[in-house]
Amino acid sequence: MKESEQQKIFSSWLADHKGLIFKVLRAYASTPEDREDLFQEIAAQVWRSIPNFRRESAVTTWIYRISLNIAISWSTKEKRKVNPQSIDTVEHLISENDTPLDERLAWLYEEIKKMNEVDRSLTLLLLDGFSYKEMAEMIGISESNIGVKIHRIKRELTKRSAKYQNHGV
Amino acid sequence: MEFEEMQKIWDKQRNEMLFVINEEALHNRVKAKKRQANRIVNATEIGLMFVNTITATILLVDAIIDKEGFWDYGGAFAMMLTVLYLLFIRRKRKIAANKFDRSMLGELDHAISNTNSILQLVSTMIWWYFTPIAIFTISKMLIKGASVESWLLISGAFVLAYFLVNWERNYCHIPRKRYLEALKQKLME
Repeated sequence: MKESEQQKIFSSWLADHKGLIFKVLRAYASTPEDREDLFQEIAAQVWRSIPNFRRESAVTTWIYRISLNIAISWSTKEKRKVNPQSIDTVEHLISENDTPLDERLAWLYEEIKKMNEVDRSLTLLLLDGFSYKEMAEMIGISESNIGVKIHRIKRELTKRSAKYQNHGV
Repeated sequence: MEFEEMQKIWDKQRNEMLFVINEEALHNRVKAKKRQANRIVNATEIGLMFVNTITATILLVDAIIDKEGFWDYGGAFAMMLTVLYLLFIRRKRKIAANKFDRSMLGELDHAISNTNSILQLVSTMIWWYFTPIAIFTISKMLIKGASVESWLLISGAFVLAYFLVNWERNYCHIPRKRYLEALKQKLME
């Protein structure tokens, strides 16, 4: 595949699916530096994956799978120490939108961040409307196992939301 | 709040972009990343093979010039064996890279397998790399009569290398392997 063609596909994928990458960034990385680092890893892997894309799955599924796999392996690595000076001088890849996040959405992201890496992935997929079958294929475990995990996640989130509402935070 | 309500809150964000991308900077970084891909692993493997080949050549030339250098011939042969072994490990790693499926579990298995390969290489290095080299070096020093400084320097280098390799194995690779296995356990339970 020619680099120009790969670049064209990459730009179009990014334009159409950046929303899902941002969700993964918000769920897995806490600081702007970490988000920048993770975004770079995901973007590089998406780029590399283009020649291997065989249209056996939807582009959304493909990019979600890459993003979650990278996010999980990224979170297992020891975080490198970032030199504050270098952050200021380096050109930033992403900047946060000024639009304030809905308070309840911010709470939801915080709750997702508290989960373990696997449950975080499942919650994102669940909230984005993926079926158990699709999730099972992406994660590599059985549908029934997915069902058990999802049930537990839903129950836990509902319980925590009751606490959140009671405290009126 | 019921889960369905959370779903509605989640869906609302679809049209709101949380971040803005600097496309040009991203393109430059991706290109740099592409060049950097596998560079570290390749540099370690190829670098080690290169150094060992050079060392083997030096030992061989030394043996030919000396005309009596059994230890140099032996050393050169042992060095060439390590190069072949590294080639074998490298090939095994590359074949294994295409064997795993692209699911999260597949990626985790791949990461665990990579860590196992590194652990295997490190363990092999201690017994099948340092030991023959140490034997050949010490034997040669005994036969040719080395100075106290040489003994101290060579012994120090071996001890340091041994501790560094062990430190890397115990504090980098083994904890990473345990973490990945725990993650796999979370996925399976």
